[in-house]
Amino acid sequence: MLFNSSIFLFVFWPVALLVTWALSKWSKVAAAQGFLVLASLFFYGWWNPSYVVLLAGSIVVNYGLGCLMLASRGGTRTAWLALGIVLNLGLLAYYKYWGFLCTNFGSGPPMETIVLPLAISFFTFTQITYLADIRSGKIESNGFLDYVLFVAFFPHLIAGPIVHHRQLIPQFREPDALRPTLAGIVPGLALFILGLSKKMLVADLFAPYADQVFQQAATGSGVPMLQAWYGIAAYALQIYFDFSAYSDMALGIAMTFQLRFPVNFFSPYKAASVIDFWRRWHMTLSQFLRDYLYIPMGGSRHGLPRMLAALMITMLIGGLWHGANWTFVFWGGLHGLFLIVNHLWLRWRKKTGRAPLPRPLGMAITFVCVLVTWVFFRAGSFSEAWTLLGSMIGLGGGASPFPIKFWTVVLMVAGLAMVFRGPTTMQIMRHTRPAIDSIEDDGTPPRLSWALEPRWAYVCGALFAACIIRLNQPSPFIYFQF
Amino acid sequence: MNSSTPGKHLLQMAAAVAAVIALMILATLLIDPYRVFGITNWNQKNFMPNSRYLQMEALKTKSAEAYVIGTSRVNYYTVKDFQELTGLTCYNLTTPNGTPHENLLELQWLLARQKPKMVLMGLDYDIQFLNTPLTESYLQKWMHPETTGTPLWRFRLEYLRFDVESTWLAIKRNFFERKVTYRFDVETGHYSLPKRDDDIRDNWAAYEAAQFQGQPPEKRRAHREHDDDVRQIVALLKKHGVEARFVFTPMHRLTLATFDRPDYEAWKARMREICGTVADFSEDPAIMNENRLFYEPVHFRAEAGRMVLEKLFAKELKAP
Repeated sequence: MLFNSSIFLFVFWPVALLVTWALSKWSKVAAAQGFLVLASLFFYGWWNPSYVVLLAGSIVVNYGLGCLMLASRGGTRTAWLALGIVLNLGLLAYYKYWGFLCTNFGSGPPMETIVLPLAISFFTFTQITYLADIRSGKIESNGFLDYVLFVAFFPHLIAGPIVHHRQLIPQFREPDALRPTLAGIVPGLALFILGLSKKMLVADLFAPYADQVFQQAATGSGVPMLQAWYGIAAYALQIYFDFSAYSDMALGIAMTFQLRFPVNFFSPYKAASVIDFWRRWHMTLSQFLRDYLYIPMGGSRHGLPRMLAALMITMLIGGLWHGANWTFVFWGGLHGLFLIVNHLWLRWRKKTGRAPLPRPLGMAITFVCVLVTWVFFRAGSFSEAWTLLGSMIGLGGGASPFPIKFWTVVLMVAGLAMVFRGPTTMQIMRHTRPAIDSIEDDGTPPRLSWALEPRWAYVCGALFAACIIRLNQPSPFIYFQF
Repeated sequence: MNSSTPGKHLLQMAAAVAAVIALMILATLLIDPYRVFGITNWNQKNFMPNSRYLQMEALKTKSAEAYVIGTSRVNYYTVKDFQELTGLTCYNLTTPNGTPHENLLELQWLLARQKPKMVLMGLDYDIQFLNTPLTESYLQKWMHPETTGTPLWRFRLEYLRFDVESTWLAIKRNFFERKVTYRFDVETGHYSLPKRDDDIRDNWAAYEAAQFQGQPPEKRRAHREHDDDVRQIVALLKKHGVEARFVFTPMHRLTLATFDRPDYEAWKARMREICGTVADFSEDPAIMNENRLFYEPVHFRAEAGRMVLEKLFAKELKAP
């Protein structure tokens, strides 16, 4: 079920809110929790009912393993963890990487015979972290209902943010949690509408231009340099508005249930370095990779070579997490390389006492690096990616299969202005505490800060109406495939 | 700085949603690029209205002695030629991308109201490839609700959604394009392509070089799911005592080359078994190799349509 579909907007979400409110008012919160678990499974099953069994099975097995780990100590606990990791990664390997593994390292059924269950990467990694934290003694016990709702809660289930159990489970025990009130619903709805508008009124506008350029590159014929840059910039804007929109919507929905998720995006294209970019882009994935891969591999504690190696391995795995294709691995590798260069640059600067680059220059260099990496992220094959990269340096020929029109230039300029100069939705909603994390005040003018004022009601109402009118053409979110 | 309560804020938001949607609905009713509301009929060229709907609406007040049914190809069996060669008044029920199922539904609706003498149906092998629901431009091709049993409110509701892109396209093409690339005539049921006719007349060599580029090399096979619809059409016409004529429509050699030959022959055999006599013009050498008789490899032109009708009704022509 898509957040930008009529069934979700006008049936599922209102009913879920209403029933949760009624149960928490006239019954125990546990009843509301139980209902939300069923609703979340229904939400997941809307796409493919048979995979509800997979999700439910994965949750039950992991919870059971967690109980066994809590009841044991030392080596036995580690053995249970090892089994949990093997089972989780085995599931992921079968559904997501089987075709990839067979194609590259052996033989087996063709990839198309295995349908990738939605969100498998998200719920698998969420549960591995849970087991790993039991192993390191960070968890003492959790109720089954708390655990199931933490994993399956529908706003974050499909495409994140990757919510940590420490962030969500304690909230279930707060007195206001899962007791929807108008005071919580209104700002949550506003945040959701801002996200929905980003998806339906902005991100989807850039998609055709990005698709055109990549489709042309996929045929092996290049495009003129300007078109190539235009196409990849369109994709950069599409994926940013698409994914950050999903995160905004997820946070907004959670707010209506009196819960908070972590921030997932914070103006990533304003980053002045690649290190900074990863602190702003898909922040919950970055934190996950840092805490459960980079730091266990030694992090920065064992000297420069090991740190750089850990960084590269982390980013390669991060790339593979996105999809079973070498282009994703290469994308991760490129980011790893840029991060290494960035770290070496910082050390050299520190050593020589050099001043940092002017911020606009740093932003420009970072954005170009990120654009180059997006080529591999979006391309279906290396030949497609090389063709487009060749076009970006002028090797694509002079023919113009789809001339850039005036209004598309206006659209691009507006999009770039929004990402480079505009406030994020988190900053707009800052005073409503939209996330677990506190949002820094970047000087967003008060007129751009959401408040319980009529002008915001009219703005959000008008945006929602504009989205409703486009509901007959809902498009899936890019991150659904991961 | 809060100046409202959450409840009041929610109501203000709902009022804004209602106001914007009401404005959009009003605009849609007035702009109506598909011409299904009939308040304004400014869309007269270059943007396809819902021609299926307009044809059925027209037939509520007018009737004909003969009907031509089939895909976009039967558009080129012109009403004028048909009337001239048979002496019967005629209406063309061409349905671009239409399937036999759509033809069946339209005939059921029509025969419940009128008693025509003759129906000519063009049978296209390649329309049998279409087994997916219409997605893009479906508003241009959605069938009249009375033929499908769709509730009128449901049909109208779909057209009340304000589609910025299509609306702008319709406005641009009607008011800012001088040449006429497309026109629909509700009186005859035909559409015409004047700019193409001009291009063919003015610079045939350039037109031919641009249009006859060859077809995809893959051999396509038909779905069998439409056979039963054709069978029902035959039975329906027989039940109503309507003279039925079936033709395999002319194909360009480039289109023929994309067909899976054994499957194509099997389809023809099945159609003959279902329809009885089917006049076969699909591989008429006088037509299939002559680029000038086609707009492009998919659609033959009215000259080819006239040749078909002349051959089809030769007996009547020769009759004293």
